[in-house]
Amino acid sequence: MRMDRKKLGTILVVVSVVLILMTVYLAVFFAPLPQTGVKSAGEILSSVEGSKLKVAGFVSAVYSIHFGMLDGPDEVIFSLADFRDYGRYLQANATHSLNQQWWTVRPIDIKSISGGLNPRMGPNLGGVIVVGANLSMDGIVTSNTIAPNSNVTGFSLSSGSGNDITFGSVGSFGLMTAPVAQKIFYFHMPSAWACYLSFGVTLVGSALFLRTRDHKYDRVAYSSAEIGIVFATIAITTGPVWARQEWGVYWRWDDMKLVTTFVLWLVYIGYLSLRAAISEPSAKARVSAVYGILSFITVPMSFLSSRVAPLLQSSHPQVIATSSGSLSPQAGMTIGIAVVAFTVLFITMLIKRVEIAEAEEELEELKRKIGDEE
Amino acid sequence: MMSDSWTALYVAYSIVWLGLFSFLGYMYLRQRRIDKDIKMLKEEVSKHGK
Amino acid sequence: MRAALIIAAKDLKVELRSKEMLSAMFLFSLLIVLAFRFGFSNAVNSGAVGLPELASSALWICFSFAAILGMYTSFAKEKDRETLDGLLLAPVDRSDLYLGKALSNLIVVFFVDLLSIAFFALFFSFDYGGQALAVVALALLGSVTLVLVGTLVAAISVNTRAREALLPILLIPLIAFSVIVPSVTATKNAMVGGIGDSVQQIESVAAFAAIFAVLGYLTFDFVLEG
Repeated sequence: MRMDRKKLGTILVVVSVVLILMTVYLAVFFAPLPQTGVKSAGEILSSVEGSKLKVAGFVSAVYSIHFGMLDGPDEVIFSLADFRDYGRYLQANATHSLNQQWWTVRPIDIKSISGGLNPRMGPNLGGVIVVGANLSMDGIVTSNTIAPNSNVTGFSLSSGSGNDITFGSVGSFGLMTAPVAQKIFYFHMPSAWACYLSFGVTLVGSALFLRTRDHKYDRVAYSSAEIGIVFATIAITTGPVWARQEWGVYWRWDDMKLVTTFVLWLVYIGYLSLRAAISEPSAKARVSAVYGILSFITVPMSFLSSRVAPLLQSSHPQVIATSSGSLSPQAGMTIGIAVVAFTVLFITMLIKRVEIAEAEEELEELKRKIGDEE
Repeated sequence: MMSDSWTALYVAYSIVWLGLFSFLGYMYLRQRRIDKDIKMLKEEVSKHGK
Repeated sequence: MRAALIIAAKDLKVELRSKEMLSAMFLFSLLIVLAFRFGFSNAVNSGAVGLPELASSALWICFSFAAILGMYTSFAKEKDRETLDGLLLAPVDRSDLYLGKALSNLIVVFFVDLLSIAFFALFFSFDYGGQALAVVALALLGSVTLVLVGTLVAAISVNTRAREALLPILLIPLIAFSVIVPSVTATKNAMVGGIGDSVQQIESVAAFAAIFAVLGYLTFDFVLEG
């Protein structure tokens, strides 16, 4: 029996290594670059000229505001980080008319400028400009000031009801402004999946322990939580590397997906510190099992946070069950294999980690025995 | 830092490998230490028994 | 259920007799609001921070920490005086014990919430503008969720070494999105007169209250055993 287990372990190690290497190969050489969605602003605007426009994004940097032109409109210059692409920025030059309740948005091509505008200021421009603020405003498209070669990248314009046009966030349209960095996704998302899976196993292990009082389930629960933290750490560190390319910032505190996942990570760090703070083995298992069950609520919170709108705002791309921006078949295959690879890797690591936990308990037992004899 | 997409890709992949291998290394070291301790203690027990 | 009420009444009676927790929490909330007053002095005077924004955030930070202090004390006290064993020996369902503890904690925490709301108005010369009732109602709702999860986690942490340090570590991540974020938003909306904008936030806090109540009811037994 012991021998069989060892053999199974070896097979799993080999399979997971092969799958992971395959994922690397597929991600780098096989999966196509995502659509960048480059369109010339002229092309877009000729089709939407005169339409009402809604721009949504977030402010990446504060630039400048010009106030108080008596005979002309107030002018606000800002740039939306979501529009970034390799130095080609779509810069919205918003003009606010003093006597009319709408904004004019004129996309023009300027390279080095970015600016900020507090979205909730409304028609009255007195207020604070906050870097990272969410921005959404209405305007009317005018094409007369378009630079001839300016490109709008990473965004698709979709015509909504009537004349309304929405600049959606990047992820929701399956378009990327930083196509190469998108390959990070083939490891980022499977890591996140593996961490949800691990914490799910912790939940089940904890519940089974409370039911049966068999310490084998407790070992599975905490081993799985430890591995889950490794995967969660990978997911929340690779994410910002991608976000820097795609959004222009590493982290967004207003994006629910990011923050809830961070909280998820914190909760399970708490789970391990709880275990470290109890010395008596049966109390440790019992009490941490309850916390292991309780902490699982952060998993659906993190998983659903990019889906549940509008209470939870997120511009994190959605992969599963999204109506728009589906992956190409090759990319779908790559991510499928990546998920399988990480699942197998998780199982392999879990088996190994549980073995160590068993050995540790054996060691404790031996120590106690020797202690008794002396 | 990370001015272009490729650098970002290398950085992210390095994080993945670093994360996975450091955990595997940690597990390996831990197991080795425990095995050593168990072996030592068992020897001690058998010596003591005689 | 009757047992829960009896336990809550017992806790409150002990509290009213000694008043140690209430006086500690009274001073705590007074000082935390004062700390905000001093810390944000420049920002408030220059108008860089809007008072409704500051009030909603400061109040919820105050509520959370006061609740953590209170819930921790309610178990630590019982453990230190070894009355917890007596309580466990009583012919009472552990789940009722949980509800009773949560209820007595809720009453104390809510009382401190009211004090903090008053202190805030006092120190910041802040006018709730007829919305005080909405703010109080939101404080009550948030506190319900807070004590339902907090009572369970406080009971967990009382089992450990370094228990007072561990409770915030275990509790704050759990209440971050179940209580603090939606409640702050709802409170801010209420202060600017639009509690109707925050139906989803209120629903979310209430839903978490239900989830935590069920989890606590089912698992509290295991925490205090042995």
